[in-house]
Amino acid sequence: MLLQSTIMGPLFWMLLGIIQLAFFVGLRLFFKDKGLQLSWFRWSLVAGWWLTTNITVAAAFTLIGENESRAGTYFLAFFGIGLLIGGAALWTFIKKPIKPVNK
Amino acid sequence: MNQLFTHKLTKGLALIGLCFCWLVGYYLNKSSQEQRLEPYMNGDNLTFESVTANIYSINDQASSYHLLATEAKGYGGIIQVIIKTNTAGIIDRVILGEHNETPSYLNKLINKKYLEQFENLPITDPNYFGSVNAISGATTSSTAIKNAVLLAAEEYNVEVLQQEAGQFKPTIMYQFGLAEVTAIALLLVYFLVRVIRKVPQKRMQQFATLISLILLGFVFNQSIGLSRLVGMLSGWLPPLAINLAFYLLLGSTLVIILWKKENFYCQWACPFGGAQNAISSLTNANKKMIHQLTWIPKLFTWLALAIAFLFRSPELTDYTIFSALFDFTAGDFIFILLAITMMTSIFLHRPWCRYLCPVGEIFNTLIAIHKAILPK
Repeated sequence: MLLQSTIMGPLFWMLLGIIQLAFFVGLRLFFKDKGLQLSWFRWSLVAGWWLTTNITVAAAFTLIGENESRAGTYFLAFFGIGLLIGGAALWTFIKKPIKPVNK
Repeated sequence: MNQLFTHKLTKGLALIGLCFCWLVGYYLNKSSQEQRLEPYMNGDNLTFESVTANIYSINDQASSYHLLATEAKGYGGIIQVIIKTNTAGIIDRVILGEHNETPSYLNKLINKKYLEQFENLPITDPNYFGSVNAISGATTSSTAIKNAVLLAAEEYNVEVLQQEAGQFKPTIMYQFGLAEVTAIALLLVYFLVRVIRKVPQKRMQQFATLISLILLGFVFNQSIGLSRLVGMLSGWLPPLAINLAFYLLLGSTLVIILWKKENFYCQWACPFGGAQNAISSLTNANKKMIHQLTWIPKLFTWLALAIAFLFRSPELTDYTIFSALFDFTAGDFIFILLAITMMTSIFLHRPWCRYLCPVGEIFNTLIAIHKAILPK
């Protein structure tokens, strides 16, 4: 098993960390390319959505791996659709320009 | 002119086709009581005698018993119930015959051993039936079965034992609660907007459907489904006492169709419409109508009605996805349909209502008929 291996296990998690980092760097460039400026609040919403998506996929595939394929599929479908809708709503929200603060 | 004639001809033929299916289904699905009871008569050298039209006395080599055939109106139409009693009038078994109840609701009855509650109760004594409790989440079906047993008990006592009539009264408890209050409140919001012109209609409509989504949808699971409408068109009215919210929604929709030629249910009270509205407003979904697809709900509704009428089975063709979202009970196909609908709602405004919903199509057809009869 890959994750239980002394060498491959830590390498796998390091690779996953690099992918996560690459995702956020790519996302930052994507927003810049689209001309979007994100406040800390909007960034935390995006990060929250991404974290939830990761947990959902991990949990669903854990269930499938534990021979609970029906539960895993339902879990992924139920929360996955919720996350898709949430993602679309989040995209609509972050596309709106930030109102300037009156000082 | 030619196109108008073709449209009218198609509509006329569709209506005639539905009437034909209804009549064929009505006459083909009639079965005699003896045919119904035959599968439950087991034993060697069996002889049976009809005591009344619904009560049969069975004698075989080992034992003698009574079979009572009875029925009541459930959620999806008539539920046939067969009761097996010994000669002393003690119930041995209560068996479900033909029915069109939603499988998930019926599974609740089976899992909670509802039918077993009747076993060993004396059919001669009405006091014992108070101990039979309805199953929450399947109240209509469980109450219908109990009422069917009570009707059979009444017939047995009057016809076989020559007892006084009226001892076994079916349970009729009017349920007026928050679901009914919500239905009335939605109606009041509609009237408020119609009477006071200054009230912002769009906002109020969004508010009404949101309330409907939360209360009528997720809390009470009260929506007008195709199977109920088909059941009603087939002559099986769901019991008023436990379906007040449903009748309030349906009644007010029909009255408003007659009065204002407007679809109150779909626009103001449908909880699933509320769910799609919520998604659309969150994601700024495209509100443009794809006119090339508007024939889909017409065709699907016609097919669903025709097949359901033909087989006298409201549940057979019910593809409405409300219970999948609000009660999490449905078959795999319905869940997949729900998933596709929810994902499409991100891009299109109310895709289910516009391109698939049979309930909306029935109401819109009624409005179209009304407009054709009384154009002004």
